[in-house]
Amino acid sequence: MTQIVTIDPVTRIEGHAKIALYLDEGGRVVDARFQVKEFRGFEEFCQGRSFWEMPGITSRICGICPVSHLLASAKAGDAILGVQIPPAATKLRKLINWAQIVQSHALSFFHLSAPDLLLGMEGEPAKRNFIGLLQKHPEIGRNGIRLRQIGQAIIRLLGGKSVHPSWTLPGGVGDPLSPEELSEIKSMLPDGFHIIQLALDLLNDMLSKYEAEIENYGNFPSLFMGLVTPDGGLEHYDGLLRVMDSEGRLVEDKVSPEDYRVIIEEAVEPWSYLKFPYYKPHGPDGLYRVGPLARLNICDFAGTPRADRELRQFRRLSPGGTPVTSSFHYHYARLIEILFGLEKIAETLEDPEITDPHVRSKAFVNQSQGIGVIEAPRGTLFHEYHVDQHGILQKVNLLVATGHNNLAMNKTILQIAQRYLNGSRITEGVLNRIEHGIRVFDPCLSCSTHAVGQMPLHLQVLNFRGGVEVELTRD
Amino acid sequence: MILLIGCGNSLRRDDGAGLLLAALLEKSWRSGPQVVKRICVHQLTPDLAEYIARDEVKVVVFVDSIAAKMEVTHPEVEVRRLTVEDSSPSLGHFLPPKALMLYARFLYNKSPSSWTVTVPGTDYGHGEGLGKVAKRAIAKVSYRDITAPDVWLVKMAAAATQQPM
Repeated sequence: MTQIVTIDPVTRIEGHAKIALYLDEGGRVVDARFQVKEFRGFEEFCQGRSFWEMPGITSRICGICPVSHLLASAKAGDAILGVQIPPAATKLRKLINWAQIVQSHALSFFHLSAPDLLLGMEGEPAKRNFIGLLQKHPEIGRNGIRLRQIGQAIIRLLGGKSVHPSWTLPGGVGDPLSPEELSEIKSMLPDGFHIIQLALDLLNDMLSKYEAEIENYGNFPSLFMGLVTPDGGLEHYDGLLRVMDSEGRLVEDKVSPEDYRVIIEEAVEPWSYLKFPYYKPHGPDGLYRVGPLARLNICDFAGTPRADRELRQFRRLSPGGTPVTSSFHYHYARLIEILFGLEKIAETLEDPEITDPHVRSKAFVNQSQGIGVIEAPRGTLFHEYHVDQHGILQKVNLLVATGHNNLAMNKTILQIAQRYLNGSRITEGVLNRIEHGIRVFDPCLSCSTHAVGQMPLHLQVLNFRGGVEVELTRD
Repeated sequence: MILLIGCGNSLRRDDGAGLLLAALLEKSWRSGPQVVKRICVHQLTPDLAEYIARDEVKVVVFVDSIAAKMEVTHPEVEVRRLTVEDSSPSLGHFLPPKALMLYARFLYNKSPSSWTVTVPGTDYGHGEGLGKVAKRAIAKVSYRDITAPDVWLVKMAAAATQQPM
């Protein structure tokens, strides 16, 4: 006899995601499924369009990380053209990607996770939200908004607008950076550095209060994957793929991103539209994690002074010097990446080449296939395009960060439910813990399923006959 | 100043209706004496609170698509005055207008009057252009008569209160 505990959202677009927990006869949680019901149709929708349109189209998948899709798409386009883009264009693309990391991570930490972290996982639900946070710590709310604004403003200055900028193109970027824009970006950075230092201090002060959560929120051995620079540094735009196990051994290194299919296979399950990528040599159980935690685990160094100092601190979380395995530490990793992003932006603005007017290489279709890979805020993003001689897309495959983390999210939910769920009785606190377990990955359902991006929760406890025993709804 | 915030995704059919209607309202309202600023967003995010809280913003109008719950025989654009109250967070990256207005109040001590303008939608598949229901609802608005936004918003909201929510 199996009971099913279901957490099911209600959204304006039918579908999306739900969480089902499977209980055995003794009421113990034996399985967890993070089910995404929204159909991911962008790949089909794009077939028959020109690859030139793809940056504009794919950036409309998501309102939070449009820049990631723009860049991956433009890089796939570069490969189809068979060109090397001008150095200034590469630097400008990196600049906009770091700005994207700053704004997206700021949203995740301050808006989505800070209420739980500062008001308590099991705090009164009516107050444990961003409004509650604003009432108790208005300065933290303002700082979160300001940090996100800085990232958005840089994106707007470079791309012309902060949502769906179309400035990045196959072959380079649309316009160079003017000296005035450069000065404006520079003027915002001191605020950003001040806020991120406050956030790092805040989180470090809190960590001792969350020992149980660190132990139980997705804390398990796994592989970690991401891009690193050719000499092993933290990388978000270019570089080579590296896979590390939780003992710190390099399972794969210096894999060219174009060869990603050698190490990654994608599975599908009938109960979810979200793909289940896995590390190919390990078969369908080849779970790996991507994103900030993985990137900080796999790199040998960050490459900027302050981020390197924080990285050394971060690595002390794992006593043996092995990778940090608790997914709870995605929060910390995210803040370190914001700091790194701000430092890299500051460093890049000092490069005289950054205002070079030559920012685009022009060519026609020279290759029938293009693969563009970057590190999006949530992890490694792959765009793979196949075109005919006119550049018309014959096949499109998008492999997004939330998909990579799918197996890990399921395992995290299972671990939290096994630790905190008592029979089929779901309290608000347990529901929130499960939600937080998903939040640490900062999944983007817009990106992973190409939906509109809402995810309120509807929770059901069903007995083995399918009857509803308990129901909770969170709009 | 009236701040018009059009929300949606123009590649998800009716989800783009809010963007289109916001553009039409801006054009009409600009033919009157008022200052109008339009922002187009994919979804509402916290940083918009700072825009809303700027001194010059007197009225905020959120324009979005809303899924019609049943077959719509007489689709109408609906206006409602926003009552700002507590709101719980969502798991994703989306904020409801009410939460955004609360952010403006708590963070910046600003509470401009706020309204939602919604277009009923039925087709949220991938693609450009609107489905029949959203298209009909938008076509029924008489844009020539709405150069006075405050009057139009109040009149439309009064009509909406006659309809079931």
